[in-house]
Amino acid sequence: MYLSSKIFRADLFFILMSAALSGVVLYGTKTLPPAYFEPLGPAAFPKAIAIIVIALAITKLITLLVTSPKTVNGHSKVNWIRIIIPVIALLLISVYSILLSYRLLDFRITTALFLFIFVHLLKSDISARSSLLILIYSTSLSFAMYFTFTKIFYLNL
Amino acid sequence: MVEAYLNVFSINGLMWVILGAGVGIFIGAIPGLSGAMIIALALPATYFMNGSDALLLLVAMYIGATTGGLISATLMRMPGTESSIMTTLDGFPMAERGEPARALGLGVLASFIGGMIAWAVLATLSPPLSIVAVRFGPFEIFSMTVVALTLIAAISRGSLVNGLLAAGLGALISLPGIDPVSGSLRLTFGFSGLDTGFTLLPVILGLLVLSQVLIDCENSGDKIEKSMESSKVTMRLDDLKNNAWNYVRSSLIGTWIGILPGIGGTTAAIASYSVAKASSRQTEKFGTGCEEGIIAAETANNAGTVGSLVPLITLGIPGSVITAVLLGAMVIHDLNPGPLLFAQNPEIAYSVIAGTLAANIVMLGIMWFATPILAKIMYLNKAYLLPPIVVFCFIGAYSASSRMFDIGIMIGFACFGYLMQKVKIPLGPFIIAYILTPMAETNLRSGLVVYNESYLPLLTRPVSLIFLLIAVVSVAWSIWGEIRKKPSQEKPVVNAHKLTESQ
Repeated sequence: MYLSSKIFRADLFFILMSAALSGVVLYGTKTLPPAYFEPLGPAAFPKAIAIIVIALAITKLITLLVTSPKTVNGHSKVNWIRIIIPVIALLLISVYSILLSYRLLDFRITTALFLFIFVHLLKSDISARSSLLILIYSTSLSFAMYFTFTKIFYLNL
Repeated sequence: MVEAYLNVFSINGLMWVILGAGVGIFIGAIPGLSGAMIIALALPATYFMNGSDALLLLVAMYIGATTGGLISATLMRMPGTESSIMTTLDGFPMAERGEPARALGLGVLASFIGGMIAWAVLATLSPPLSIVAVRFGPFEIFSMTVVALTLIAAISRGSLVNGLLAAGLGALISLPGIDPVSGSLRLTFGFSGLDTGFTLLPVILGLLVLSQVLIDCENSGDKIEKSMESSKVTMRLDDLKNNAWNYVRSSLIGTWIGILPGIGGTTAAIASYSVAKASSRQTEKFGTGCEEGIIAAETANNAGTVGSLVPLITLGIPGSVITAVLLGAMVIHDLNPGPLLFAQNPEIAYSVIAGTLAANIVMLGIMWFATPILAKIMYLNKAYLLPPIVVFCFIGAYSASSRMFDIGIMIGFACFGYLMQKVKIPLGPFIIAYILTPMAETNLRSGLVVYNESYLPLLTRPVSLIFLLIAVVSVAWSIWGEIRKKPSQEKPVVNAHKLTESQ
């Protein structure tokens, strides 16, 4: 049944998130100063847009609730195996950003490790030979990036 | 003037143009690295060059980067530069159905024609156009952004509510930071990192590039079917004949919007795409790999690039971030940007104009030979392509302001963009509203101050009235199209991937 489907839950989550974001913005406009020397002021646009988003979120919710099950058969079913890889990729990216921000390791080592693990995550067939090639690829790319952006473009990495 | 052209087309001049265009194309093609970044980073390298050569190099980089953004936008649905966002709407679907070389060829030819028409305007009409452009008041600019915002309704195929919801969220995201009129902090909730708001580059990188990386991670083992068409000639003279009016119209729109200070190539591409779709006989094909869409977007963004040089060299007013850097380059080389440039340093002014011509020709030449090779990127194993793109995104986001907060924003928007794509909420309207809402708000509120709190000039000023009428007709047409759809003809929006499963 559509109401219990994963697609409906994802849509509902998005609607609630949109409404929550609008609510936060509306709350934030309470502390904004009034309009000086102009009729609108800093709060006018945020309030108007937040109200419009809430109205659209409610419209979308009503549309979802009255949608016939036949019309949503075209939605692809959620394949959890396929979602796991992006989730792991996201975690990997987050760890990479934390390592870079706290400078726990040098940029070159961090990036080489990140590239090595990420390529392995995405490649479906792994062998000792391919792992060695990936290691060479990751290390050389990392050092090349470091050299290019620090020595040529003078970026502080 | 003739000497300037001879200098640019000499061996020395062409060397700088080829170097600049080549580097610009390469950097512009990499998602995460932008033309603004490379030009700003190259500026110190020009200290020891003479002013003419320095500007040649930087202008060629500017034009090359704008074209380079087409490559990743078409092949990976990741715009290499902000102005190639609209190219992803039709370029990527065309590449996905096995015609990447055709998509790239259309984009390159469109970029060339847009650049050439804009060059003709730059060379002949710069001074009078600049005078008109600076007379465009806030209400005119507000009305123009309203027209561009109506594209949201036009590109929300299948579900107007989803498109408007995405646009509303994009507008909300653009609001935190410094209020553009009063200067007070707004919606920062005490976070000092939000004092400058959600800056453009991390948002674009997260929403469009990293989220696409996450989507591609799901299908990283799949291969794209190679169409028999993909190895054929990518640019055809028939394209010129069949799309002549689209080229001219998009060039003029892009050039004019580029001339307006502070608007930029992205808005030019959005406006041109909107007009092309509204006037096309095949509006339903837009967003599915339509040639007209690619042509409109790429012609306008390159025309806007060249158009933005008009106020720079005639009035000393930078029209965009990159032209502001070019202005800095002029100051560094003891040039006097402004109305006196033509009088005091005419060789510089004409060198910029001639350099634009040379850069467009060189860009076409480089891309002509590179396009079939670049098209093969589509068929490379994504396991080797995606990870470096993530690293480039990190570098690009960090280089803008040297803040890890921007990296956090980028990752946050990557999650958000991934979720949006999963629930079939379109990204295009989000980005359009995010870019245009601050412009619309600033100009509306400024206009109300200028005209003593009166909204009437929106209707009494002829240019503003024309833009608003276009916007009303465009929205009404989109809504009418939605209402006319019969329920039995409605199909759920599904991705038209043509992928073969890996074995």
